[in-house]
Amino acid sequence: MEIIITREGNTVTVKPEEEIHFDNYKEVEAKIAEQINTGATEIVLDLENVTTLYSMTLGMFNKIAASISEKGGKFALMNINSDIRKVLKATRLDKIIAVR
Amino acid sequence: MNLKVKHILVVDDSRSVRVFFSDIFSKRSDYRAEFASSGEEAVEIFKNNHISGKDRFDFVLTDINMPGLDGFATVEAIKKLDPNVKTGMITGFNIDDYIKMALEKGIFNIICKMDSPDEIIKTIDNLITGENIFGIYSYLDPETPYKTIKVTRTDMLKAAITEILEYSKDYLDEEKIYGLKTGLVEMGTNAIYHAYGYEKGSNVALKENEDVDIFYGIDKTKLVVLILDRSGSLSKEKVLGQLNKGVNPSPEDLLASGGRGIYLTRYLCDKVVVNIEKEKRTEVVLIMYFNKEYIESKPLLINQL
Repeated sequence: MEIIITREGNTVTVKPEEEIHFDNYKEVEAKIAEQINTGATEIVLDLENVTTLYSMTLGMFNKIAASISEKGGKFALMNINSDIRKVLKATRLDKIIAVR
Repeated sequence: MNLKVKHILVVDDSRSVRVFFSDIFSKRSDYRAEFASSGEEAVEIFKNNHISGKDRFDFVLTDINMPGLDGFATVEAIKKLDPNVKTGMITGFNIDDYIKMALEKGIFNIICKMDSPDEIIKTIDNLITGENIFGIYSYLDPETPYKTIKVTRTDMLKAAITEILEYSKDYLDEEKIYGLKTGLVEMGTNAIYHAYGYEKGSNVALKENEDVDIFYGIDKTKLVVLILDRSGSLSKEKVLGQLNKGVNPSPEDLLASGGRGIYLTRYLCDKVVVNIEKEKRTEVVLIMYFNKEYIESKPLLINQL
């Protein structure tokens, strides 16, 4: 899976170039963990190419948010579609995951 | 086929609902129904007929929201008299409001009053006859053709989902396709990964005895997809517990990294039925209606033999 990384200071934007699915979400998680371990204090996950969120993706968001928060950093999503917004609301994760 | 006439006690404080059910059952030669207008009256009727042995009931169907004994208390009182009698609940209110209570009281089936009479009867039939809950024809109209896909590898699950979505697109609108896709991924991955102890996020090939079969078909009103694994590793308490965590999440549940699959599936699909035969098989049935919308309330249908 191709994942575009853009760094501006300590803010890193991570953009998967395809859908996050059950057989590739760990690649996204690993890529973000790598960024956190190398000093990123703000991770923004760009979901422009992602149309559907599944429970494993939501679980991944929580893991990333917990991991970066331990280091005093922040995690946010950007470019989410209305279906993704609906899922975040239904699972109440819209209260704990920031959306830009 | 079971041709025995089923004796059913319907409990509802609303006269119009009792008339509605009287009308449904009077047209069915395989049902005999009696009616109670309160939980207290139901308990009396149950004692005088079932417990006395005069005329035993096969099923008690009760409304939830009633003055005096509510549905939960009515079921509790009736189960105290006969723990083996089959019971179900029905409501016109949002079933999610009762999920926590259902978990506490061990209630796994709540039917929607908004369902069509045919669907209500089919659900009651399935609840009464037990083993008939399994198989696609418990949900799809008889003799409707259906297809079967055997999944033995992760990439085959992806292909199966694509095939079903392609097949459905002439019948379902975009929103329903989205819901179906989510349900297929959630329940398909549960079957292929969790049922057999694999970790999500990797490509897996199932062993010879680790079957996942997906059946799907379309009848006059709906699409039915049935996902079957032969582990039977779930329990009805676990399924309802996960649903409750989705509906009534604690702060810890909100931060959890897993366990939302069944909740999301029920949230996005029109109807979800989970059937479990412990250590033998688990079936998850996803139903999408062409015209009907479950906007607020969705039934709770979890069965375990």
